[in-house]
Amino acid sequence: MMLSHESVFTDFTTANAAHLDIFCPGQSSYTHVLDGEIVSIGRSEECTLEIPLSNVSYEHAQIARKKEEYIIEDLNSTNGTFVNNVRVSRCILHNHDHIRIGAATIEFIQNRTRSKA
Amino acid sequence: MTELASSKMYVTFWGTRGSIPTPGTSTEKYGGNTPCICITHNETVIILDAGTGIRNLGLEMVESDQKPKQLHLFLSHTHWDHIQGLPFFLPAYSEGTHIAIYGSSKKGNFLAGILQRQMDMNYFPVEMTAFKADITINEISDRAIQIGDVKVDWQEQIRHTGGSVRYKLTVGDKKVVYATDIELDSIFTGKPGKNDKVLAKEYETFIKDADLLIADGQYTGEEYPSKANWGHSSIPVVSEIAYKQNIKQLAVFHHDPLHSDNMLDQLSAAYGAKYHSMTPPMEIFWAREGLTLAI
Ligand SMILES: [Zn+2]
Ligand SMILES: [Zn+2]
Repeated sequence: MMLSHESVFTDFTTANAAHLDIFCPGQSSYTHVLDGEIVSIGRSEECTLEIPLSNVSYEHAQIARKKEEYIIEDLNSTNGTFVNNVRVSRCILHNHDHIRIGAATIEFIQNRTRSKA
Repeated sequence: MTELASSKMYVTFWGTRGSIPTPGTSTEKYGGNTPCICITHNETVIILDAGTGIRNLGLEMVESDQKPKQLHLFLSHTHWDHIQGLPFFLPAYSEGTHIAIYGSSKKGNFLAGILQRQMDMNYFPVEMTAFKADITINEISDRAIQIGDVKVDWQEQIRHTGGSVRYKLTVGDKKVVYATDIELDSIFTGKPGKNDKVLAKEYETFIKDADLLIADGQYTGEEYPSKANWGHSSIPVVSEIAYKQNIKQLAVFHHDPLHSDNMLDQLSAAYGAKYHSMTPPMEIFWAREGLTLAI
């Protein structure tokens, strides 16, 4: 039996599910699922990910989605945002990138899936 | 230094692959587009090379709220991997945009002719006359070119088939050097030839103390012997020279089409650990698409 074009091409969609695993001294590690909302990272209580460490700026960095990509941007922090040990101003994230902010590390995990819509 | 001059240069990699584009899942992290780097300083926009990476840069520029109107494109040379994206660079088709293109005058053929022939109808459906932007093509001859607060120095590199040009961008006390498509191994290793000492000295003086050196590192040390005289450098040689010249950050560039993300990750791990632990340390990393550094 030949599959219909509809079932081959439209029943399934490709999606990028992504999350962050956060390891911050003084906190137990936790996961934050990326849903397209901007994630702010910093010492401020207002931030999506609050990192209450002394060498972290009040509003240190943010992660935003642009089309299919997640992009981290340093917000002119004093001590820098590092991706895989490189100090970045901005960086498109890839699976298993290690983000370092002060003494905290955040691992970016992306799962590209093709599943039934 | 004026306040304007004290602000940072932002260096974005749009294409890092050498020789030919390499799309596919094994190259998506470091990227498959051929050389293109955009460096901005306040309003000044300088593009280094027009490999296939320039297509995405053009898309971002036309989508931007503040479309840059004055662009400066410096070509290292006119091998395909460094100019092939130009016909797909949307701002070139946009009226009201000014693009100044710079390249070596030592081509034998005029630079304008080389770029026009790439868009001959046998190779591409529209000719260069379809560019609606105001385009000037400049064969560089003055020692340094001043663009806004950015001073651009340049030097010919003869150890690459047909030659290439390296560029140094200076703002205040910050320096970014772009030196790709050069075979440093032929200058710095083995028995030095008559000219090698002069070439080595020129190279060392040019890159010395750079905050960022973007350098040809296409081959591993093991690969190089079978690729000698192909016009590209080996990673152990370029990293050692960079370290001796007090480079703060070395971006290894012009990745070999055969090198997968896994392989570049392994090289990053090995060289990163080595140079990070030295006194003083040097940061070394493999340039990847979509990465912006503030210098
Ligand atoms: Zn090349
Ligand atoms: Zn070349």
